[in-house]
Amino acid sequence: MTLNMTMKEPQEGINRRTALKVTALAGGGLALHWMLEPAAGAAEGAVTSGRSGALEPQSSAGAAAAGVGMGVVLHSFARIRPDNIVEFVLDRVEMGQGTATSQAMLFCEELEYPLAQVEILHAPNASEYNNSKFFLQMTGGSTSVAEGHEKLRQAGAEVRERLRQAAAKKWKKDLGLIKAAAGTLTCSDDPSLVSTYGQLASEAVDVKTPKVELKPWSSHTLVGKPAPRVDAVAKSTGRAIYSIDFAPKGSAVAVLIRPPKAGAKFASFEKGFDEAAVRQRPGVLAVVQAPGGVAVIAERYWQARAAAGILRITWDESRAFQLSTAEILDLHRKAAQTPGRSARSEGKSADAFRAATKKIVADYEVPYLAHATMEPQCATVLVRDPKSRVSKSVPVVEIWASTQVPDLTVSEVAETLGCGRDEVQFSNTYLGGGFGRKLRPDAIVEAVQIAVAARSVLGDRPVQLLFSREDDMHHDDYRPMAACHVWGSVDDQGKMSSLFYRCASQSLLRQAVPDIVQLATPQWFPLGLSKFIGESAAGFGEKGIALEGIRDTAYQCPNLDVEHTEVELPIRVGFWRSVGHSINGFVVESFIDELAHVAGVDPYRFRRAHLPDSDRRAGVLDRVAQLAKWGSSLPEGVFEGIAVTKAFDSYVAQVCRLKLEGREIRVLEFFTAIDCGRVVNPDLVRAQIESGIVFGLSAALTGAIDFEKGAVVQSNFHDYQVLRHDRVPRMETEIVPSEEPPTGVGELGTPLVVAAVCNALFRASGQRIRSLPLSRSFVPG
Amino acid sequence: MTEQVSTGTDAQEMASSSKVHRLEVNGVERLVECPDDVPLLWVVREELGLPGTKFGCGMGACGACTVHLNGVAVRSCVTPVVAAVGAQVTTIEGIASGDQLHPLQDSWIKHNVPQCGYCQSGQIMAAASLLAQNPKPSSDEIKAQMSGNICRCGAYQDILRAIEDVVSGGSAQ
Repeated sequence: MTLNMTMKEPQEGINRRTALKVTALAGGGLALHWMLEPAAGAAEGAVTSGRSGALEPQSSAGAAAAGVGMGVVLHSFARIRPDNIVEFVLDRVEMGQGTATSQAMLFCEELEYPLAQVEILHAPNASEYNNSKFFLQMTGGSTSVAEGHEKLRQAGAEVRERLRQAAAKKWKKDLGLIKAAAGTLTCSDDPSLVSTYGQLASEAVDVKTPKVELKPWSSHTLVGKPAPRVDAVAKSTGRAIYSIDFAPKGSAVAVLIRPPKAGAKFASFEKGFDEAAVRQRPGVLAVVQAPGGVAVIAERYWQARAAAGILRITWDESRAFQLSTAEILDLHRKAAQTPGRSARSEGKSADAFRAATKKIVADYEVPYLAHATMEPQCATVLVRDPKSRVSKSVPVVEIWASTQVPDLTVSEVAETLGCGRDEVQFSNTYLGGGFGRKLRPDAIVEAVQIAVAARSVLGDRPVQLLFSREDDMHHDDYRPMAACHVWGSVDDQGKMSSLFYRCASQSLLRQAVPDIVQLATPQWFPLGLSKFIGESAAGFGEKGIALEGIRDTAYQCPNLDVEHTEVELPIRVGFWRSVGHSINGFVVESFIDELAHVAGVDPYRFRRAHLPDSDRRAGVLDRVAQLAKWGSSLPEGVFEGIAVTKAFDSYVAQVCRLKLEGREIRVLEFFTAIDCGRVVNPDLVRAQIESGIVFGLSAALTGAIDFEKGAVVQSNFHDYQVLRHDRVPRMETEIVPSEEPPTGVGELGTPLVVAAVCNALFRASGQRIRSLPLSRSFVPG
Repeated sequence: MTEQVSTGTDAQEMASSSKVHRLEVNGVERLVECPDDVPLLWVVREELGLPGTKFGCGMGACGACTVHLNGVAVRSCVTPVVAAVGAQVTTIEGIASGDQLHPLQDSWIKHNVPQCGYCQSGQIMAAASLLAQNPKPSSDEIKAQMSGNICRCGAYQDILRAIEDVVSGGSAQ
C-alpha cells in the first residue's frame, strides 16, 4: 500500500491532489503511521495538541521555533502551515452528518480560504471546544451548525484580519489596501506585494485579535451552496480512520464477555473447564476479570474471539433482571394507565371529552430499538502506572477512540482510575455511525478497566477493546420502549375539542444526567452528591425529553393535557436519533390522523386548520402538500399519508406514498419539506433527511429489540433487520427558504417517517397501526 | 445459576495450527502465518496492515468486509484465508490503477456519497464486482445486487446515482 499515490491533474471544483493529502492526515492519518511504521513521536501530533487543552496561540518565539512543516496557531480553531495549508480544528465529531464540511465551510467563508485545501484535525478535549447548548464538548441534538455558525465565522474573520494586519504592517501599507482572498494576501496599489497566509502566519501571531464584523449572509460565496465533502476522498479510498483502525502499532486486542443480563455477575468458570488451556492458546496474553465481565486479551482479534468462544462461564443470576418482552410491555401498559408528571395542562380535557360525541381512545406502543451503527463499538487505551512515569507531564492514560462526548469520556475515565482529568489524553476520530450511541463512553471505560486488570501482562502496551456485532446488539443503550394512552375528541365543526396524551417510558436522563453533573462539578465534588443532584434533575427534566414533539404542540386545542409516567427498569436506554420524537412523532401524528378520520376531514386539511397561518409548521405542511401534489389522483393501489412536526428548533413535514404488494408494504416515495432556517450546505441537508428517512423506515418495518428472561434476543443483522438498497423509496426533499438563523437538521428526517407510512397504510388497508414494527402489527389482507 | 457459552458468530475453533500462506494481495505477494480458518478479513486488517476493509457483523450479512477474489466480490469475514491462496485478492486499497482511482471511486467523490463512510469500502467493492460482470445493469438490478451491503446512514440514493453515472459512461472522469 502506498500513501504517496499521486493523482492525475485536478478537475474543476475538486483539487484531488490536495484532497488526497487531506486523507493522509484527516481523522488520524497519524494512526496510519502507527499501523504501518514505527510509532511516531509526540512532535508529529496532528490529532492531539497535548493533553492539557486547546491549541494555545503561540508566542513569536514559539512560532520561530516551529520549524518547517509545523503550523502556526492563530486561533484555537486553526493552525496554518508554511506551505499554506490550514489545519482546521473540528470541535464537533464527524459521524456522517457532514460537520467536517459544514463547520469548515463556515470558517473558510470568513477566512477567505479554499475549502478543498483544508485539513481536518479532531479537537482535543478542552473547554474552548464546548457546545454551549449543553455546556459539554458534545456532538448531538442536531446542534452543530446552529450552535457553531456564529463562532466559526467569527474565528475565520479574526484569523483573516490578523493576517491582513500583519501584511499591512510588513508592507507598510494602509490596512484598507490589503485584500485577503483564496488563501492569499495582496495589496491593491502594488501588485508585487503578494503573500500566502502560510508565509505571513508567524508574523500574525503578535497581532492583537481585532474586533470583526461578519459578512452578511447574502454575500456568502461558499456557505449556502453545495460543496464537496472534505472527507469524501478518504472515505472512498479506504483511508478514513475509525476507532477500529485507531490503534498504535503493537497494540494488543481484547474481547469482553459480558453478563447476559443486567444484574448478573461472574460466578465461576464451569466446573471441570480447563481455563489454563485457554491461556496457553497461541497469541493469548491473558484472561482476566474486569468489572464488566471476563476479558480475553490476545495479539490478534481472531485469537481473542476464538479463545473467548470456548470459555465456559457460570453466571450468578440471583439478582439478575429476568423479565421477557411480554412482561416488560405489560409494565409499560400499566404505567400508561397511571397518572404521571404533567408537562402541559390547558382547559379541562376530561370534561370536554365526556361531552363530545365524536371521540376516540387509543393505546399505542413501540419497542426498544438498537442503534446498530455500522462500526461496532471499539476503543484503544494505554494505562500507565502513575508512579512509573518518567515525568508528571506524561499522561496516565491515553485513549484513541471515537465518541460524541470527549469531556464526559475524560471525566469518567479519570473517575475510574482515580487520576486527574488533566492526566487523561484523549484523541478522537471519525465515527462509523453515531445516532446517539456514542453519547456514552462505555466502551472506553471498559477498555480502561481491562487495561488496569491486565496491567501486569500488558505493561506499557496499548490494548484495543473491540465489540462483535453480537456484543454491540446485546449491550446497547436502547431507544426506550413506550406505551402511550391517548384520547381526544372533535366537535361538529371538525375542530379538536380535547386531547389527552400520556407517554410511559424509562427515563433517559436518570441514566445520563448524573454523569453529566459529575463532569460539570470539580473533581473533588463528592460523587454521591453529584449523582443525587443528577437524579433529581433527571426526574424533573425527563418529561421534557420524553414528551418532545407533543409538549410544545402548536395544534390548537382548548383542552389539552400532556404527561409522562416513568417506568423504572434496569434496561440500559439512551438517545436514539430524534430521541423522544422517535416515539411521539409516530403516536401524535397517527392519532391526529385518527381524529381527522373521525371528523371526516382530509388529513392535510385537518392539520392545517389547527395551525396558525404564521406557524412555521403550517409553512412546511403546505410546502410538502404542494411538493407531493397531495390529494391528486394516484395510480391504482397507491396511497398517501402525511405528517408534520417541530423538532430541534426546525420544522418538518413529510408525505409517504406506498402500495401493498401481496403481503408486502412497498414504500414508493417520500417527500419532505424542511424549514431549518438558513442553510450552510443544501446537499448535506438533503443527505441528512434521506439518511433519517432510511433510519426511521428500518425501525418502522422491522425494528425491535426483545428480551427473553432479561437477555436481549436479537444479535445480528439476520434477526435485527434493517433497510437495504432494494427497499429504499424515491426521496425528494425541499428546503424552505428562510432568513432565520440555522437550526437542527441531522435528526429531522426520522420523527415523522413511521406516522407518514402508517397513515398511508390506513388508507390502503383500513388497518390503524398502533404498535410496531409493521412486520408484526400489520396483517396483510 | 446459568451456564453461559460465549459465542460470537465469528468464533472459531482453531482447526489447525499456524501455517504459512502465500497470498497475492493487490498485486503484491504476501506471506502470512496463521491457521487455515482465520477469516481473510482479519488477515487483511491485522497481518497485512490494510485497514480499509471493515468489520461490521462477522457473518457475511452486512457487506462491510467485501473484497475481491479474482475480481469477484466475497465477504471476507466468512472467507477462510486458505480459500484465498492461489487467487488474486483485491481490497479497496488496490482497486485504483496506479495513479488513477477506479471510476466508481471518482463517481463516489463526485456525488458526495459517503456519510459516515464505514460501509463505503464494501459498497464500492460490491459495485465494482457487479459492473465487472455486468457493465450495463438496470437500476432494479443494481439495487437487487447491492442489497448485500447495508448502509446505516442510508446513503442508498446517492450510491445508486454514483453507480448509474458510471454505467451510463457519465462524466465521472
